[in-house]
Amino acid sequence: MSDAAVNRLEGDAVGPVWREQFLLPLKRFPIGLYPTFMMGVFFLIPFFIMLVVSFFARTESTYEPGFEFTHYARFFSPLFTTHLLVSVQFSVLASILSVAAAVPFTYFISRFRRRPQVIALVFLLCVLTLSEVIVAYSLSVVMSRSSGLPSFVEWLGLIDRARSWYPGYLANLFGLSFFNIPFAVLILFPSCTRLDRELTEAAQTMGASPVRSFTTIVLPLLDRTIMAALVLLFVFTMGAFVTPTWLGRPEDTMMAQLIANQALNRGNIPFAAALSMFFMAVTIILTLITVRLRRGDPVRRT
Amino acid sequence: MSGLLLSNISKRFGSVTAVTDINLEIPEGRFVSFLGPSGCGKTTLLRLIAGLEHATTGRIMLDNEDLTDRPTHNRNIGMVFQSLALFPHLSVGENITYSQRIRGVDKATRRRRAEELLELVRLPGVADRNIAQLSGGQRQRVAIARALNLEPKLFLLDEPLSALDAKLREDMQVELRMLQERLAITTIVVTHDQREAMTMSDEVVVMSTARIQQMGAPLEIYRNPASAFVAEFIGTSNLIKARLDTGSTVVIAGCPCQTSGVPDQLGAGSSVIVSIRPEDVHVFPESRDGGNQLDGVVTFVRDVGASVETFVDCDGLQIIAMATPKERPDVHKGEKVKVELPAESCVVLKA
Repeated sequence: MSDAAVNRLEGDAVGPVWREQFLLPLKRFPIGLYPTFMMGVFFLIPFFIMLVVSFFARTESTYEPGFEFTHYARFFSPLFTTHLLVSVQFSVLASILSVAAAVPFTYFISRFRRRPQVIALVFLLCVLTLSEVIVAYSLSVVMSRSSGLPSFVEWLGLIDRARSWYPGYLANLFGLSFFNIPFAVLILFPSCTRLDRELTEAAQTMGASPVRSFTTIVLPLLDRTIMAALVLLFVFTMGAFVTPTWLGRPEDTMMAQLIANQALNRGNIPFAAALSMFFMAVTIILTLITVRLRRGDPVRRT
Repeated sequence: MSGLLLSNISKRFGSVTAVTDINLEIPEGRFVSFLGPSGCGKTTLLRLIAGLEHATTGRIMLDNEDLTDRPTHNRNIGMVFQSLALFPHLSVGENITYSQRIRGVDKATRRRRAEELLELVRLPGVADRNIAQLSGGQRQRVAIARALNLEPKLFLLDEPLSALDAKLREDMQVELRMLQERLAITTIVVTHDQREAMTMSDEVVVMSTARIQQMGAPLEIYRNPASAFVAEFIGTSNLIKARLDTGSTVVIAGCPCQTSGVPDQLGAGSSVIVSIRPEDVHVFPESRDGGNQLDGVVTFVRDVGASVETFVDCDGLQIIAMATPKERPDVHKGEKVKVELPAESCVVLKA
């Protein structure tokens, strides 16, 4: 999130910021009205419908207009707080793991010549075209007892008897992280290519091994981008649905699954709406806290 | 031998040969410049010495130790990059003492060392500043201090002064040379500026098209260029087409002239180039005693105050003579004159 956007959310200098960020650009580029209009129709209107519905009363089969907080009160039952924590936990871990894998990889390919770089990125974009369903399903095949890695490990003689690795905590975490990696690479790539090669070379002339120069020069210079990737992937993973359904155990159920369950299986639309509202609020608050913490850092910049 | 020894070094990038057939010996404590036009391979050669590139063939020895396959971080060199490569996330002091941080030296010692080095490069009291707060000249000094921190055996500089304005660059050249003399550290500077090379170095290595063209003391190269390229690149030269006669006599524009000597492999009748510096050429209105005088017509006089250049056309050859204002020849545009090319200043080169 840009600093200006944060300013706006925090309410300082709302007037001028609003003018500069929205009105002036719109005057100059009226075509900007189109996305604004689409956002209004397909995001804000459903959002407000959901907000209103979340206060409605539930009846036997459907719901009727009303204004009650019963649905919001239900969050504090252990079932929902537990699964909120599960969601946060998976999202934090999956974003950290995927970024940890993506940073060295991205830095590495950014040091290549142009051609291999393009090939690597195209390959990565191909992975992105696969839907979450296909990725989760393929991973479940890889982790299945009969045809996947477990039987291979058994064949190697590392374990006595193979058993399926999914559903499971690690299977779910792996699936979520795996799906995030291409996004992490795409976020990190521009900053990595902008890093001046001479900086790490200078570190090496001063006695730093390539690994040392990576940790003392490259990582600190990428810190903001890494943080941005972490926040984005955290938010992204919070909404995961397919992967935990396929690879997770019942106790690994994440919030999106609970919401879908309430809406589709139990027909409790007002409660599902209230859960979504609450879930969104938690995600925004956690993101803002992270952004806030970052801004407090006394990081020197040129 | 103590010092740097490069034997038979070459480096190819794919089908491109960056440097080839480099044999070079730099005794300890010398200040050497690699001088040449851009793309001549001088930076590649410096990077090979630093270990930032790996040589395709050849060996690099420093104080009788083979460095060829040793990674950069174990070579104990100090290097100043063209971009300076100061770390933007570290303060001036932290930049300078990065090499000690890597070796686990404690903070207080590092701090003292940073102050010392800033004193050395005459930039005291800026250890806590950001790199962004420094001027170009100050950053230059920080980069030099950083490279000298561990008292390296080799001090390498890649076009270190190219980002500075002309006045500051001249000052820094003198300062860098005095610093190097004080520390007696073997130093190699890559530059494309012949004046810079001549100001600072004990020895100049002139390079072009991936090869060493000539190496030697600056004045020796200036006086006795080995090829037309060197004569052109180091200072300005009159390069005059001539034909070799017997002995050390050449024929220029139909007039026999004595020269300082002729390369062995050339025989009588072969065409040659005579190189002579403009400041060695004399122009006067009428003929005097002695030989080596050509007839010519003045085509232009450029008087810029500190020096006077007279352009003379001698039977189709343009010869430029340069003189101080005191020695200004009493000639004017369009006049017939005599041009004297003193024999000891005429260097004969292969055509």
